[in-house]
Amino acid sequence: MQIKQLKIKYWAPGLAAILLVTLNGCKKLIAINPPTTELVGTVVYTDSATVQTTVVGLYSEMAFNYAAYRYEIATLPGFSADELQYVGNTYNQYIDNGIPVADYGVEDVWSSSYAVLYGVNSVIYGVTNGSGMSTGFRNQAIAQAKFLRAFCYFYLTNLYGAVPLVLTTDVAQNSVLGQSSSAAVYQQIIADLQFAQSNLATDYSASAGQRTMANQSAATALLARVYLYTGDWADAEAQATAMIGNNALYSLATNLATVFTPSNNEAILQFYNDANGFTDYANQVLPNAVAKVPTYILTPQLVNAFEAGDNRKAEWLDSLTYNGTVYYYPYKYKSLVSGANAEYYTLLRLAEQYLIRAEARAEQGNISGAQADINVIRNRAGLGNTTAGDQTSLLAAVAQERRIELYCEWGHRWLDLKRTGTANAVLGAEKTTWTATDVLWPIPSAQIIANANLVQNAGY
Amino acid sequence: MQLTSILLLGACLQVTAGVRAQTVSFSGKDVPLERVFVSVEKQTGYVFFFDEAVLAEARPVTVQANHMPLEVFLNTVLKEEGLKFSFQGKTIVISRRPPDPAPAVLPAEASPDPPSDLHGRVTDSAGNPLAGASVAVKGTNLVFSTNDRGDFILKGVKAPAGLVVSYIGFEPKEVTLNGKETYTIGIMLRHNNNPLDEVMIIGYGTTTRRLSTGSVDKVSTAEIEEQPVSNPILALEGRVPGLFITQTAGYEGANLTVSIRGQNGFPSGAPLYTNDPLYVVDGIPFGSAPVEQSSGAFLGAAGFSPLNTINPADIESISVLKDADATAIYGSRGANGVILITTKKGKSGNTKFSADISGGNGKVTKLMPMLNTAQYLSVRQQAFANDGVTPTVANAPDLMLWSQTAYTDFPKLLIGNTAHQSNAALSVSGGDAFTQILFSGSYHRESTVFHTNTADDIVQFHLNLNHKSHDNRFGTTASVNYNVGDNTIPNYNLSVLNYSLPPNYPLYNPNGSLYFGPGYTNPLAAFNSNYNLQSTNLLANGGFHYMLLPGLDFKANAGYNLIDSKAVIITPTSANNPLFNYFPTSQLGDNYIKTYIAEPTLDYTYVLGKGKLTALAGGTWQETQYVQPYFVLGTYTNPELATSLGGLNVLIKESGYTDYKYESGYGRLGYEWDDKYLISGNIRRDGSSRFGSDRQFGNFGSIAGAWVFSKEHFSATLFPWLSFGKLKTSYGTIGNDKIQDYSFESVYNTNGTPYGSTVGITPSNIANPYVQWEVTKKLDAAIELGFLKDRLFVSADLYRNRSGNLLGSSPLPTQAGFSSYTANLPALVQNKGIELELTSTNIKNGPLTWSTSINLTIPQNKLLAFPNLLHSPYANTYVVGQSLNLIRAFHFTGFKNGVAQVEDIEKTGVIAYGLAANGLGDQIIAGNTDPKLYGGISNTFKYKGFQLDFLFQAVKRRGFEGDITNSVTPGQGYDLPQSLLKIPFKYSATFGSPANIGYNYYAGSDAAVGDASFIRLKNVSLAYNVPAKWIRHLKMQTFQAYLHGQNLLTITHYRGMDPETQGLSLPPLKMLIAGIRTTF
Repeated sequence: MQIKQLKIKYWAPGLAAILLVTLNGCKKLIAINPPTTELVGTVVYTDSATVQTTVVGLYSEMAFNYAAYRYEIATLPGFSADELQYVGNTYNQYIDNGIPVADYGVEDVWSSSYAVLYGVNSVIYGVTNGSGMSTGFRNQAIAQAKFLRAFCYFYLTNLYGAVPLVLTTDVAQNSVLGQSSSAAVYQQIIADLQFAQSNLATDYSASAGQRTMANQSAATALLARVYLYTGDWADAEAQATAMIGNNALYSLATNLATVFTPSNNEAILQFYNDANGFTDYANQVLPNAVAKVPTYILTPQLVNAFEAGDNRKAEWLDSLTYNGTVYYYPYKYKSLVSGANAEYYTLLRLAEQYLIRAEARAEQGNISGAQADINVIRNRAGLGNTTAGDQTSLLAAVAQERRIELYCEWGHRWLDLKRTGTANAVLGAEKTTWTATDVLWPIPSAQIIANANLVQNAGY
Repeated sequence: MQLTSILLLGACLQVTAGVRAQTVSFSGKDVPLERVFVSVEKQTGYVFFFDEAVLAEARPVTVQANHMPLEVFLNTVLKEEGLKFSFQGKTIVISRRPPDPAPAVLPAEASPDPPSDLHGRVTDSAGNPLAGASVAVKGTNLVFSTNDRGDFILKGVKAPAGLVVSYIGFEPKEVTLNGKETYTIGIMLRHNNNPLDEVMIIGYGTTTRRLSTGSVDKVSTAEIEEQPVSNPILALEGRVPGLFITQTAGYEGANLTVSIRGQNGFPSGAPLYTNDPLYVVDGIPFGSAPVEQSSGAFLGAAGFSPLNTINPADIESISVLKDADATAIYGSRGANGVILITTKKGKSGNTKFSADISGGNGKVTKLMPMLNTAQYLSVRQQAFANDGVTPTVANAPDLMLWSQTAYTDFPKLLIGNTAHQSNAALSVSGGDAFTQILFSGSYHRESTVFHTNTADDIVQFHLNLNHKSHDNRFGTTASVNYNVGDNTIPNYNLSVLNYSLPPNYPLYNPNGSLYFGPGYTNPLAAFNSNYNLQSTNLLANGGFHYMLLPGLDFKANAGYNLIDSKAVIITPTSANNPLFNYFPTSQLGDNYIKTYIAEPTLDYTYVLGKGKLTALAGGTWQETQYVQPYFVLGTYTNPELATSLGGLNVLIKESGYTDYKYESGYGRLGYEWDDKYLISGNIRRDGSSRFGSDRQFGNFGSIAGAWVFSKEHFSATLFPWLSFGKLKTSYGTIGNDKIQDYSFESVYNTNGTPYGSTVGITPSNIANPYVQWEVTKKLDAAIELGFLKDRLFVSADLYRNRSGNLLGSSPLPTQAGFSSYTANLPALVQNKGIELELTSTNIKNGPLTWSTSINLTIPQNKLLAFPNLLHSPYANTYVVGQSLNLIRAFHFTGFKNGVAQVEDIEKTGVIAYGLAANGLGDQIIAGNTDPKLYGGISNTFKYKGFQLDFLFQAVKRRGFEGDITNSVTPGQGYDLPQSLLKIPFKYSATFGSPANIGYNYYAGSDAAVGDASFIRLKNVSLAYNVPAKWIRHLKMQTFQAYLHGQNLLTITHYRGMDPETQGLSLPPLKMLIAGIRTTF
């Protein structure tokens, strides 16, 4: 074997070359494959088919992922008001209106809503700046997003009062954003709904005939509610009238048992079920078929508020006897049959539009119009016409009818008590623990810790 | 040309007649001489030493010999060739016979015509050639290295000259050439039994303790083999200073918590961001994150350590790299330290078979003694009396409904079984000087101590091949490890509601079915679930090196690792309480991790004066893919089809994929002057795909120096008792990119459930294009001292690591859309500490040897700074100036009528959870859970054929006492640990009673924080090597019988089950294994 003496001139240039190449780094070597089970944001908004899945994704997240939109916005305000009680200590803080600032449910509804809103704002931003879409498609996609944005902000501002009005996906800006007044939030809600109303399809073609995605009417129906909440009686009446007059698509179910069935004519907007084939709401509130132990039960005040002969009591309430006590529980949703898809979780339905118009008419002094609308709802429940004959008694009659018709749906009772200014009187009389500041839930403490610009609601 | 041999031997020259009286048999016609030599080497164990040029001229020989004495045989064969031979130890030196008969060995006068090139060979004392030894010519830049036969040629060296011959692990030798040498020089190096000179594997090279500038510890195969563990990392517990290992549970395959020199960052829950060190197996980075949850969730089953798929028996050594100097070469991947695992290689020589068969049993180290039925019932009665409540069948079935004498020891029932372990391993190795092979296979089975008899079966194969060219310029190596595991051990830990069931709880109904009491769950139901994890691990690597020029080597290595796991959990209705409407469910998941790596390096060694310059330049490219083809959870109706996708009504389905790429260019420059002054520097540029396009690259580096002051002249005068003394220090910066892939860009994912007929997609993160490298600055200083010819060796290491720009999930107000996003946190975390090591050979003379090794680490962890901490969700977790693992507790002020009282620090009238130090509540900092010190003492005794080793592991730390924190309020319907009777609690059966609230405060107070220190007899190994003469007729070379014990004894004041796992996980098992090991 021959070993030569070292000669620097041979190896030094080679070494230098290797060092230069490697130390400089080559970007190509670390260019990675995109995640094949996920989509990179930059390619999502380049064709209409993919964009459509982002819109569907918004619904899918609300319907399947977030407890807030699966049942919490119905149950938790039910405790805060005087509709629901719970066997066990889990929800005492709501029932006693003493919600700790770190409460899980308050945090969950807040954070879930903003998670949905991030998706909504991503779609709006992505579609606005994207490519490969027609103008009509663009506007429809944005309108869907804006409808859901309005829906979420409606609940946020009603439950928490002033909330951050997040309209973009800019993390730096959004993470330090302070609260906007409820009025400002409503202004945005109305603008979003008006855009949705003028850009969404009139029919349910976007969801293949199922009433599971918003159409123009969904925007109209929510707009009617928003006008009612903001005291814009004329507009509330006008929007509700548009809904009630749309006979081609909507009519009240004659049989109370079919009000929550998939895509019935009373439904304006519903969520699909997940693979279980029944609503999560039913799964949550119905007592276990085997254990037969009550969990979510109705307050005596609510049970007693049903008039004699009200078919809704027979059809929408059920009871069980445990240890000698009779417990009533919500029975609007009845099905827990795997795969049956007998019911869809309903967000908006026509009956509310009658009651919106009744209230708007009463507020405007249209006594007979208000009576007529109330009677439509009462007659369907097997009750006679209302006896209310002046504005005050009519408003009370509307409130009573809303309490019964819309009980345990999307927090109507809680929101109605608050917006009509009767919460203090009604709940103060029923609950010793009530204080006036309880009308707003606390801003979740973790959020105040994370964003110093947030201000806690009074009383917390 | 006349050739004579002179042999400059370090050892004695004489060869005993007895050995030379060996005989050989060989028959052949026209056989090349080399083949004859090979045959003789095989028959006698002698090695031939010759100049190839000499042999090239030789003619084939014809010979017939039957048991001919060796010398006669050699004379016969060589006579016709004009060659002669001589014995030098175990070497037979062949040379040309001088024309005139001359003395066989001794040198003649100087040749009139000396050759310009001197030839030589370097061997060990057994005559085995040492390939790659360096022969430096003093006073020149010349350095030669030996080829695979140990031969070197001194080209162009003119005598007189001085040679320095060195080889790692051997004592260097100086040889003076006086100009009279005209012959082949034999140089024999003595094996250096000094542990200072043992080879240590470091990043892309080797070093010795004597010459290393970095902080590296090594655990050898001998220490690993004597421990009955399936996870090789467990064998390191208590053996390496600065390395803190905690078993999360005692069942086989359970994940480990491993930290080198403390916790550098915040545990953020992201699967990839851990404090784990980098594991490198034969040059391939090895993922340590549990495989089955590598990408996407696998509900319920967490924590199967992939390291469990490495066979401890295949490991040659494990190096633990700690400081900047040692870890810098691994760059960003090594920020938390590096654990290098090197598997065994084939060895040249006769084909050697070895077999190792063992078996044994294991039990839980300790079960918490609970109240018996009479004690329990009396507590209950007292509780009802205290509360003024009358027990009824509804509120006290234990008092009113069930037998008052029945007794079940629930901890014993649930985890009190005996685990069985059996192992069988076979290996074969052999080869010649150019090619070596090692092939081994093993089987391992270990069952659990759980109520059900489930087990982990592992089958492993290991193949290693090495080949070198005859001129030693080219070499190639390949190795393959393949491991198949079938684990049915559930990830089962005790829960307070099952091990503390009332001792008179009836487990079965009269009809034999499981009994579920009102409000109670039958703990045996959980064992009706079936758990199965099938894993395979393929680790293959190969490479070649080519010597471009003397001293300059080009190497290229490539590796591939595939870890695949298929997990199934079937939960039938019978596994749950029938009161609730549980559907039978099945979870199926398939995950695999693929890693590719390619590493070209250029290695250069240059002798400069009395010094040696080493340079390394190289690059690394790595790709790791985490792939989850599917994960599904669904309900089934037909149990036979529970694992069939067709038989499932799928409720959740997911799949996942991430891709990670990493590249690095690096250079290392080292200089050793006279083995006295050592410096080393690293620079590197790392690129990671985890960062946005303009933040992908980071530059890092380190510098280290060492001074072997015992080589200075003053040392001999000043410290004559010192045989070795070294001071060293290093400083460096290392990056870290351990975050989720793709976090810099926005990614959309699906929740898997179609909305109607369409599967929607939603954003799954907030992109952070600004996220960049986390940087750890490591400072290290050490002193190493050897006494009594290094029989006593002491080292002390001071380190200080500071990590800033911490990568992790940065909390956000959820109004931004997510509760966190991946970002650099502004916090600064410091880990500093002292590591002490002492090794000593206490007795060496005679048949008895006794050696001791002690290591001790005193660490400290501190959050140095965290701007805006109070406005982060960490406000209730961390306090600046405190450890990251602080204990948050109320301050206990005493009992009032048996009701525990705690201090209302903020004087608000309400006891509030939250850190008083941050103004958030009434909880104080009651110390931290960091170890105050930890270490181990191991002793080895050898007496004739016997060897006894034992290792004590010691950890001093604090923690919540397990008996308090893992109990319910005394008097409620659950059993209590015996130790709770000693605390004057007022018993109460009622929720929300003052006694109940007081107990909860107490359980979270400083009174419940106790000493979780322990000293554990971690390992005992007793082996007996049967004398060779007894087994020779069985053709065996060695035969060993052994007993290995693990965790045999634990000394602790800790009042829970086990001070190491704490909590309610299965404690580490006490294992005793007996086996035999033989080679033939």
